[in-house]
Amino acid sequence: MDGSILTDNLSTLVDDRVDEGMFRVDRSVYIDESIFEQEISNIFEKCWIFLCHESQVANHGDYFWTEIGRQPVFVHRQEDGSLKCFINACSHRAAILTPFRQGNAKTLTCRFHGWTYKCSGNCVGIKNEEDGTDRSRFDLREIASLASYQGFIFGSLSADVPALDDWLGAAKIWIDLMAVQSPEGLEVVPGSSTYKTDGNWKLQAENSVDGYHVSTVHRVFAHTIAARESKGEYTGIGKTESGRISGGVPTASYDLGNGHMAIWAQHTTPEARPIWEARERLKNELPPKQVEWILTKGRNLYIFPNVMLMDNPSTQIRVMKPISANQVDISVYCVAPKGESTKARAGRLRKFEDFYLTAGMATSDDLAALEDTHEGSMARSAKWSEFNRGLKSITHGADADARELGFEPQACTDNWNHEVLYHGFYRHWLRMMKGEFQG
Amino acid sequence: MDALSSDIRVAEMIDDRSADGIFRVDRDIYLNPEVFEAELKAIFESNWIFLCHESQVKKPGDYFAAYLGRQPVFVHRQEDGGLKGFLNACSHRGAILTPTAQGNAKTITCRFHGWTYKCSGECLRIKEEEGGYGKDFDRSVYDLREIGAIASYNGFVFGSLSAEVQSLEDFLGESKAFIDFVSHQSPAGLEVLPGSQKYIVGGNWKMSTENAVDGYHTSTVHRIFASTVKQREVREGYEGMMRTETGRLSKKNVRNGCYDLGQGHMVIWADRDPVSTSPLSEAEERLEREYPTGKVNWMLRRGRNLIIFPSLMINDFAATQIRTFRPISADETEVTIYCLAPSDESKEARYARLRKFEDFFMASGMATSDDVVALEATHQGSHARVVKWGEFHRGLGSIIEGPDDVAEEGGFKPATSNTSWDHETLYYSFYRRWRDQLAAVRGE
Repeated sequence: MDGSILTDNLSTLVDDRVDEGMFRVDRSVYIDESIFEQEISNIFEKCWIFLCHESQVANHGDYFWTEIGRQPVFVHRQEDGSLKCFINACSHRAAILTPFRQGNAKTLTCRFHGWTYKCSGNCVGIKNEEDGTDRSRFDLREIASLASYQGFIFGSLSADVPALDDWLGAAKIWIDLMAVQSPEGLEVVPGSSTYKTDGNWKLQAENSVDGYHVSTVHRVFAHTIAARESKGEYTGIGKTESGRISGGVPTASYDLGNGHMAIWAQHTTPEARPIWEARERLKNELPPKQVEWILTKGRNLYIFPNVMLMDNPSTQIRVMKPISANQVDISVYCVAPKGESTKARAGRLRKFEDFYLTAGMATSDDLAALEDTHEGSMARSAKWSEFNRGLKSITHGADADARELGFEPQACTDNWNHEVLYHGFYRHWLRMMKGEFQG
Repeated sequence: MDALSSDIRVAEMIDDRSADGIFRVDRDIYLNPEVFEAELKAIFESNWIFLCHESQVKKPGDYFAAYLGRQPVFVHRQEDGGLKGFLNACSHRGAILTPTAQGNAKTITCRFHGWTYKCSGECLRIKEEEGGYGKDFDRSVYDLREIGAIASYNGFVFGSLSAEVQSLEDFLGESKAFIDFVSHQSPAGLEVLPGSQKYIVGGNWKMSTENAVDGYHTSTVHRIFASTVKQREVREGYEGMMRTETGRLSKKNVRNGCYDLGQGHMVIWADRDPVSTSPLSEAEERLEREYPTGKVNWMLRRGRNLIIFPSLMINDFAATQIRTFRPISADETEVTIYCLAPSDESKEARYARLRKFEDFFMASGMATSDDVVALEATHQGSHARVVKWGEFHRGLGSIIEGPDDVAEEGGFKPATSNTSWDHETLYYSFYRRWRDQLAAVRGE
């Protein structure tokens, strides 16, 4: 180790000379543990972090245990319907309080020495308590900030964060495009899959909005699906439209600001989408541009730093938890409009399994690519990764599509193969690493 | 890392006063992560390091993936028969390019975004190039990056990340004779047999290096191996080269010795007892015709373990082996083993060689597993830092400056010789080189 990276040296990691046709990142950002430590303290413990979806904590007493950076926390639905989020550590010996990742408990009793806390966080029981103990000193510790947007709950260990709406900015309408698909809202479908990748979390972040790898890494997926469908067993919503994978459809990429990024690609067979059954209702309820985006544009959204929302063959919330420079823990959830037909739900779930589960046919290929990239980054004699694809077709601000839908990106290009969206990601990363980001 | 660790001076970690009867190393050299980092920089990432044997990359397009320190690299056989070594990282996002550790590919296409490179390293194709970079784009800036130096000696291919290295022959020095003793065994040359085994030792790489040329442990650690093999041979009636010669493990009258070959290379040897157990014994007459008896003695009649600084072992005892040590951290070492054999030996000899390779050298065999236990116990014991020093004093009283009588007949000139493979004086130039290279990179 060269010792900790000083603020002065951080700037040298991102070589940002777009005017000269060069934007590149030192590959040590993926492998250096001292950089990772600074990411935990300056990004994950300072930023808004996605925690869970409101449907996962729908009723009084419902809790959901997750992590902010490396710190365990849990969201707890209160008696009055509001939400609180606590550090998931007993005030006595710090044992994790929630018996499961997700569950219901109006009071939580620590399984170690039996201390009990109300939903509100008040310490209400200390085993063999001595007279005169001021129990309130042992109330659970709330995290500094908690807010939700369209059912997506975010928290921060820092009180010094911008309003969640301001933070999400241009990404909001991309969340809306999922959230408004049903007047009853969205629900996270029961079940999840959690896996570890032997690679840096930023490689996963990049990959989630990387259209360029699709025709290589997911070629086999596309072939397999096409072969399966040609046998005639899969029709209608049962089909996975793989037009996007082989290319040749309109696509675009966006730097949404604050490190958020997005890509979309035109669906060749929108009738294969589970939401297709709701098209008439959507046309009555929503502006035509939104309906067009919902029905015909497959979208991947990355919200800095830890969550991805995908609405492509299926719909997904993907959450990242960094473990070390070399490892990230990923959880995937299927999210769906409430009230959709059984047939649509079945189509959505089958396609979720096909593509997004590690046991599926696409994610496993992504993981191999990401682990190869992490390993190759150890070849430090080749220092830089360039992000120059599409530099010549960059549009600053909104393109026509963005204007019509109503969001203002920092930059965009007319191809999801392009890499300029990452400039915003790494600029924001650098700002936070240097402690220069003010909300 | 604790704040004190930056106060270390590697020069002070080797207490080198052999004239006063003292040569000892601070056991922190096995444990300290700062020392480990310096080793990667000063040795593994700027020194000649063994990559593979030429028989593993025979035909144009054959590649072999390896590491220089922590950096992944691969060797690629060119159309003109030459060899090139490249960083194993796509110029685009850095993904590992070789789909398997060893294989054949005239062009290599990255499995991530589909960029394609020729065998020569030239970037041949970028997926959707024009859409990404426009016309008049200079693809050659994405040619693969070659390593600083690559060369081979008698089929053993070495590479260095740094171009500023001495010639490979100068680097190998006196160890060349011992490579010759193996590679001259057949006019058809040597081949690495298909298959390999990798295992991780929970101990510092230098302990594995030391152990490879430590004759002293064999009668303790491999006592059970010797008695098991002996019993089996009696019971099952093993004959000739199917037998494993265990004389050197148990008897006192088998001559043996050790050499500090200089520059950190080291060797131990012992007379074979009996010679007929060696798979090479079938070639005895031919060898006697082709080489002076002194050299045949070394090729056939003495078993040898060679360490080439810092992490390559070539050994020719019960079977023939290439063993490499890859440092993962101060506390972990990845070991890879290959069986090496003369290309044209008889089926019977090959069979015996392989069975004995399995018996002794494989992690599932009866000897290596005992070595690994000893090495892990030693690494763990080194954490008892109240006891600071590991001494290397055995044999200081019998050290011979320069060659002994048998070195003379082999035609090599060690820095020092010694009368028993139990002795520890062979480690001196290893630790001196280690110290000097680390001290230089740390600016001490």
